[in-house]
Amino acid sequence: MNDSKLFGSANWVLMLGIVGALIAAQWKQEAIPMIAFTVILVMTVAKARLIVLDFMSLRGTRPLLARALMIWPMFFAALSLGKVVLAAVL
Amino acid sequence: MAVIPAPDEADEGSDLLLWVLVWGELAAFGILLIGYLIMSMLHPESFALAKLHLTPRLAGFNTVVLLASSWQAALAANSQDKPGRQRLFLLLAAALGFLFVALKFVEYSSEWTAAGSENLQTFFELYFLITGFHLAHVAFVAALFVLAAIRLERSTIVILTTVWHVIDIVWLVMFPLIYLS
Repeated sequence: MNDSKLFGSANWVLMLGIVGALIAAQWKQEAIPMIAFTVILVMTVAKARLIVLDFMSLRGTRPLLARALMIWPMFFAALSLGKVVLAAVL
Repeated sequence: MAVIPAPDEADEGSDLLLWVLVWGELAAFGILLIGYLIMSMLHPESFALAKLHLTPRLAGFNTVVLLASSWQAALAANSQDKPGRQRLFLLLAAALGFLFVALKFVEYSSEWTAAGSENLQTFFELYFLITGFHLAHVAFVAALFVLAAIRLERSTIVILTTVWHVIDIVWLVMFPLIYLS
């Protein structure tokens, strides 16, 4: 991957990281609303996807391995969301 | 008589070793995170109370630091034919890794007093175990980046940067799960 493509990808990763940190910083002493938490989880998966594909240079080279690596953060994001939904319902 | 592998075979061997290491790390952190999730569902009140002592703002900033470090590591892996540039990027990745470690210790210093409270003990035991295990990985690989910058070797840099990205992904998942959920 050339440096300019990597730079573009890094811009997205850092921007998502900064936005996620700013959203998380809005709630200190109270529970974060479910919608904000969901947005942060979606951004987490998006960041992980860019890291796997571009930072690890797996885009177009090892699709199965890339997909398997992306399942890990998706699985835990789904579990985290499930836990928050369950806590809200019960 | 020892058989010296051909260069391609050696590459395949180190590649296999790398992915065994990566999946081993993901499995270890996965087990810890599942354990944390189960315990947080068994003790929801004490976990919610304990989280009031955490500092998600600092952890959020640390996420950006680790992402920036990961970018430098990717640039280093991408600069195989430019040793000067590669060395610089490795040292920048290491410096940002050490900044992450320093900020985490600042965070720990404010949380340490609350950890002594009896009803918050379960949370803080797991919290220090999981984040401490992650922190040890960050400190260790950052130190290895410094060594790799001294002796530039392609296969070592590929292994270190790949493991660094995995450590980054683990933190990305840990941050919402431990600090926000």
